[in-house]
Amino acid sequence: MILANEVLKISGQDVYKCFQCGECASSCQVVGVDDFRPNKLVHMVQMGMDEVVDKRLYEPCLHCYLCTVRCPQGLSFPDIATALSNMRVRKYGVGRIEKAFMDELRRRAFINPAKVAISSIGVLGSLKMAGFKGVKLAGILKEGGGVPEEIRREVRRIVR
Amino acid sequence: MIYTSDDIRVGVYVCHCGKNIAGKVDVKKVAKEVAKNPLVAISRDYFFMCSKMGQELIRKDIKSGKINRVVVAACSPKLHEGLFRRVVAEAGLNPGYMEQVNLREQVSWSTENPEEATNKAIRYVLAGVHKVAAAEPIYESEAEVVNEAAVIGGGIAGITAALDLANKGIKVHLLEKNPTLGGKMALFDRVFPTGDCSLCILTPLMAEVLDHPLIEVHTMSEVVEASGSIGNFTLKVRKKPRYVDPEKCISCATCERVCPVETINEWQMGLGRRKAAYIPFPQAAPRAYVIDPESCLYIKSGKCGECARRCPVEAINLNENPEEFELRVGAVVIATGIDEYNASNLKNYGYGKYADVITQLQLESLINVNGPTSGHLKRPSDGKIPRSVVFIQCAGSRDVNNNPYCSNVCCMISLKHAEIIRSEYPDTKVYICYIDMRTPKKGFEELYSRVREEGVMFIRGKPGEVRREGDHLAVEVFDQTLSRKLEIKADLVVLAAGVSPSEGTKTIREVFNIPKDPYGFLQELHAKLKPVQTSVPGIFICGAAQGPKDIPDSVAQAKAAASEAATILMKGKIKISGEKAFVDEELCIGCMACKDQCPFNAIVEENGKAKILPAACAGCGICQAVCPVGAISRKVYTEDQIFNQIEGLLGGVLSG
Amino acid sequence: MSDETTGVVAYYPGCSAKTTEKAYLRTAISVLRKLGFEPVILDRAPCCGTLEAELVDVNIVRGLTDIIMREAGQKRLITGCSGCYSNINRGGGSIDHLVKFLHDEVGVEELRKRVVRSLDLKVATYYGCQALRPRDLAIDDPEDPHMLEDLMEAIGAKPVDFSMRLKCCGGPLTLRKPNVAVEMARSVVESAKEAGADAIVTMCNLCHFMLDFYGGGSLPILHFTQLIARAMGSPFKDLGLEEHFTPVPRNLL
Repeated sequence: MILANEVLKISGQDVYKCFQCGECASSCQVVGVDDFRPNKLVHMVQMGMDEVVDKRLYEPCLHCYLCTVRCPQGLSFPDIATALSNMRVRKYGVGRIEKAFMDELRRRAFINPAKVAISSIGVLGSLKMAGFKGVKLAGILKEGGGVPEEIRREVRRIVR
Repeated sequence: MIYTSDDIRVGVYVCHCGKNIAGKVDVKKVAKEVAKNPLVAISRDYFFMCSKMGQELIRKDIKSGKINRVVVAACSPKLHEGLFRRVVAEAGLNPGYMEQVNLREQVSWSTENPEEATNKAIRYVLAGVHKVAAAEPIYESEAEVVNEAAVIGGGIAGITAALDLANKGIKVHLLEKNPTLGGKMALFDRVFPTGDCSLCILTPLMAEVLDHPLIEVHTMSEVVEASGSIGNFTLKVRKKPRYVDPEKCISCATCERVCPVETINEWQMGLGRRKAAYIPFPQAAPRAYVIDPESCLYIKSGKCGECARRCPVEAINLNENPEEFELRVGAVVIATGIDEYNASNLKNYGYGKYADVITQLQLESLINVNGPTSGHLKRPSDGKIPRSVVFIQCAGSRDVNNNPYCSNVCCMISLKHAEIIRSEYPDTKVYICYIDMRTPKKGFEELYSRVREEGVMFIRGKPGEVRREGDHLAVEVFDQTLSRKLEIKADLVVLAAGVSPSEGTKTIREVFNIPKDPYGFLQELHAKLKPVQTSVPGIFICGAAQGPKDIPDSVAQAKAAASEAATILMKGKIKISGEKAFVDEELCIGCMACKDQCPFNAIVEENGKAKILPAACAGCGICQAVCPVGAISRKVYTEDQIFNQIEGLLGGVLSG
Repeated sequence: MSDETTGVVAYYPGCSAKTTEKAYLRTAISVLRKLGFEPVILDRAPCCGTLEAELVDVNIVRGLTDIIMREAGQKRLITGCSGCYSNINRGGGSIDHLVKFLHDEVGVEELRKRVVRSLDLKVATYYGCQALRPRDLAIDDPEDPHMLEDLMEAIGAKPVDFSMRLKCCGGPLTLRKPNVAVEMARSVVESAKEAGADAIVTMCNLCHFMLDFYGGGSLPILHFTQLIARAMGSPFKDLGLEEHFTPVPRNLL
């Protein structure tokens, strides 16, 4: 499967429109994080370089869409990143983080940000962050969102 | 099936067009299959029907008496219909008896499968055979030409066209909606790539136009309505009051001195101020003052009137009214130009938010001796000389959110500005952020080299935004060569906003019914071969109204437009093709439904019947379709011919 | 009577508004009621899927959106969370953002009339991303929005311009690059502080959590509805300010 075609199919984004003006990189808040640069990745997709998917080079994208509103060619890089991520899941299955998230969604049809915070920076980190009010975070951990069981069943069918 | 006579003998000529048609379509088979049709007397195929030898085949067959109708199956009739009509006419047949079938664009180029293409070609040719069987003769006519021209727009293109026409002995009416000639070129201090003084080369031309015995200049004037057709147009012109008689005005500036009102000076791109009584710039032509009715106290509320009282030559009449007059001309040259693109759409670059973010034309005003700083580069916010200037190229061009096209001139304008700043303010750093530098024409690359040698820094990458950081601006750009994001400290940011069709270009298009391109520029008839013609015969276009372009290209195109207009005007008479709509007066009930629908104003009411003006008729056939009683027939596309053509296409099924 | 005339609207809170951001839900509901609406909270509706579900498979978001839209029924659907707003609209649903709803449907002038206690503080109006971008989902001009400022001015607060006003809070990176995410949240708060704000005003569950929890604690982070509720007469204790991770001084509002 040609990389660019697959991206087009999933996201509707035609990477060949890119003429490398670099306005996305100029607008990007995470440019340089792990050598991330939207226009470089677009070029790699144009060139059919599978490492974009294999090495998860799209991962730093914030999906803030600032590059999208400015792109002179009307491309949306975040949607390209989404397509690449979907392709990676199809190729290798879900990763550790996605799995934890999906499990939570499947179990409770609901996401608790306190859990997200703790799984990202750990219990100690969270306590440090929230100071003496860290206990507040722990309290919130128990919250379940109250989504009824019949809806949870439905969600489980969607999130397989 | 309808015939014009019992004796129809069609000659069919299938063209190979080298491999263009024969590479896909089995031309031999087409000729053979078509020959089976009882209407066909001769059916041939040949390499190039448009060649001398191909033409000769047709002539010989007609002269031998074997055929009296001709079908040429070749390329698009747009290319060679005229040629083949002439060929049959030379051989003694009425040109209406020739039908060209398009086997190239419509069959060989657009059909993938060769067998399918061949079958399609056979049907197309048979459709042509049936159509030509119902053909009627057509006759050319002649019309008188008014030997005067109108040039609309007094910028460099309009000035050039007017002078060219007048120097050929043609009387020219030059219409300009502003108080002065000069257009955008008059706003430039210097012009690229040589950096010579813009007004030094423009002023003599403006003077020549004003003094020319065959040019009548109408400033403050706009064409609001047009009627008629090639050789004989009537233009309705609306002239706004100037309130100052340019014949009397001695430009003593008394009115300006005594005027109590100050307002924004649009001739300094909004950076400076002027009085309500003003002269756009010192070299204005005509050199006469003008009163701005939007800000004049007397015109707005009857108060003041000081300028009129104090004028030493009594040139001012604040009660002047707009007038309307008509012009009769044989041809029109449109040169209504461009405006700078409205940069307030470029919000991420802070235009309108930060005073020191300006456009290229505003920078031009800041380095122009006619500008608000008398040519000294001082930034708008605090009047300081900027020590760091950042140019953002393609800010409003090549961008689906603004103008998708390349504005053509911005690279060169920024290079010119960079050179001026570096030579006059050597302590000022200049950065140019670009996507591609486009410097393809004579002397352009040389300027690019000079500017690099001057120490201007070129950064490949389009900036994301401009922010204020304390007392300066910060331009955020990812430098693609360094592969690093930079924040360039800037005292002045210059946006290459690009260009868009001027207001005049937008309105004139509606007055003359000229098609526009996807971006609102005037559409030429053929991108390569008919660059100054439009779909309306007798109306020509030139300069940036046709598309973004610089001064040399505008001048060259203006000369081309003048030449095309002169070709018509100098003949005195024009030939009008017979391929027009005609009204059968016996059948016409005078409902005038046709007149309402005609996009070319080619139908008039005469004695209660519709009458078609052949010179204005474009032959579109709309009137034929709307006529409720079938009184109108468009020659070559009569209803009989179209039904026959469909029948031929369907293999004769209509007649069962 | 139709929902239009009774003022019934469906309110989608989003997961965070039931956990860390309860104060947002409470004050949003309170403001809507004070303005004559009858908000019905979509308690049964599942999570919108957030960016994470989209990264696994865009179809999951579509499926979740279907359930959410079904739960809303014929009622006009509103949310105060920009993330949910974006996800549900992208998933094929139709949902309004509370900021736009108040700005366009209630109107700034109407709001101004309802103010009983004009506020006097300088606020950094923080838009974040998802309500402004991409362009087809923008509730306002993506490069120059004014709705949040308009609402704040109507209740007496003074908006200050700051460089991170339209930038990302870092939320989407908390799981994969926590250090980067925390740094981004802090830079938003720092930029608002430099601009002289007394508080940052948010209009999204996730933005609020990011700035409140990770932002470094140098400025109070307020939901825009907390300010409006206060200006319309809610007592301080009803605003839920003590639930914030970053303390809010008693004399601020």
